Amino acid sequence: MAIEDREAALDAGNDRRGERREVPRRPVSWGRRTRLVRHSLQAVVLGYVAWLVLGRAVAGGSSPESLCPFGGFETLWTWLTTGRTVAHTHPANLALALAITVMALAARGSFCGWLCPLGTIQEALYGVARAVGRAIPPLGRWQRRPAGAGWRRVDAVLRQGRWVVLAFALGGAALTGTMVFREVDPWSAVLSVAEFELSLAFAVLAVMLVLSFVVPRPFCRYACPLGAVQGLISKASPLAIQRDADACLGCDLCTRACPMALQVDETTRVTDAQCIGCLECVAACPSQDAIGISVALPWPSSRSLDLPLERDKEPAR
Amino acid sequence: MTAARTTSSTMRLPARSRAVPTSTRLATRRVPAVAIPLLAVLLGGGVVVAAQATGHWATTGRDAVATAGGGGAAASDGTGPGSGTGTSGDTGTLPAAPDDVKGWMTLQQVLDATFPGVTEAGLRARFAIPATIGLETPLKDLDGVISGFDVATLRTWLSTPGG
Repeated sequence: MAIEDREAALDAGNDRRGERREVPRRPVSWGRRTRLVRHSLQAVVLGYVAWLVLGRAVAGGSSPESLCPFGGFETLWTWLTTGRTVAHTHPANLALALAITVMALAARGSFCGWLCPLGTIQEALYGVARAVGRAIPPLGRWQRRPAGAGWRRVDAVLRQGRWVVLAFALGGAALTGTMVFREVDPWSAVLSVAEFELSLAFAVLAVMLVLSFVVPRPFCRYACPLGAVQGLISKASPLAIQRDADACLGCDLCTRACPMALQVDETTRVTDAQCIGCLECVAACPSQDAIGISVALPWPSSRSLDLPLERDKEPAR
Repeated sequence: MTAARTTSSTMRLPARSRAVPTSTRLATRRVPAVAIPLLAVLLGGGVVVAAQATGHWATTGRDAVATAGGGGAAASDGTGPGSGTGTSGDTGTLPAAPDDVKGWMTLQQVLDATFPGVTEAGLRARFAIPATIGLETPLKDLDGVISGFDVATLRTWLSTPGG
């Protein structure tokens, strides 16, 4: 939302200016517990993948690539049209793609926020950078500086990269019957790190890892095709993070906490395709009732009935 | 912006709140935040367990072909029916068609599949595979060792009548 739009919205709609209302405070421990559970789950998944990678390097066995959900989406067209899977994919990939679909329908981008090991690695690196920033004040100030308008424009353009990568990966796999994205896939590079060889995928991984020190989850934001698929599917999910202005401080802690840099403090329901459901915005909010998870029922609410629906507006003369 | 602290469980909103107004036309109902991780783990895990329980789970081509060769869900794994002569290979199955050739298969398994016109001499000559490389060598081990050899090229060659 542009600054002038925000000011206009505040002037027009915020009728409780001047009031001093008491609202329930969210216990700080809530955020700590949520982060503990999330990071524990992430660590378990990452540890399992590391165990698979090391196990394959030491004793052979099945490739961890067979546990990549995006492989299921890449092979889906070939599987539907020929009954076969493209090289490097197996029925497990298809089952995991189905699992991701179900998860996205029910709980949006929860896979990205709670389970994805590549997201975990990026988050961990950004966490390291923030820790260094706390130890070195000038660096910390640089990290906390507000994003300039120029960067926001660049960021908005780069975010469209996910759709380009998705089209390339799915279209390429459908047309050629091979996993064209695998050549540049940083996840593929992570899985074959034990048998390291210089490749384009490793170069992409290296760039991603370096960027992770500066930008939270750069691959998720700009290039992840699985996140893009999930974002599309999650549009049909009834579950979303929802903000209530009646209990909102307007402090923008939620927006600053969002690793995907979504403008949570200017949104009612966070239905953006990039929401990863990590609950960092909820954990950052000091007001118990300002942000939470809500399920949307398929009928208008009584409190919104006073809002003019599109169909009720007078037609233009 | 800071909120005045009143008690440990409540706080006072600032007099000049800067919160952007919210509204939605949907009827919404709060659910516990734990719903997100619970649904993720239970639904994701549930699909995986269901896939395993119904035989739609294989993490290697060996599993898939073995399942197919054993009369199981051939179509489910997408690797085709397999001819299943049981004469070679560690799974006792052979590729039924060139597209079924996988990187883990050995040269011997490719030859045993008796694709029309494919002989050991022809195979070695086409891809310049030296005699020092035994027939028990998996195809994927030749990838990068033999110039111009990869499984996709081999499949194309096998699907050409006469090799």
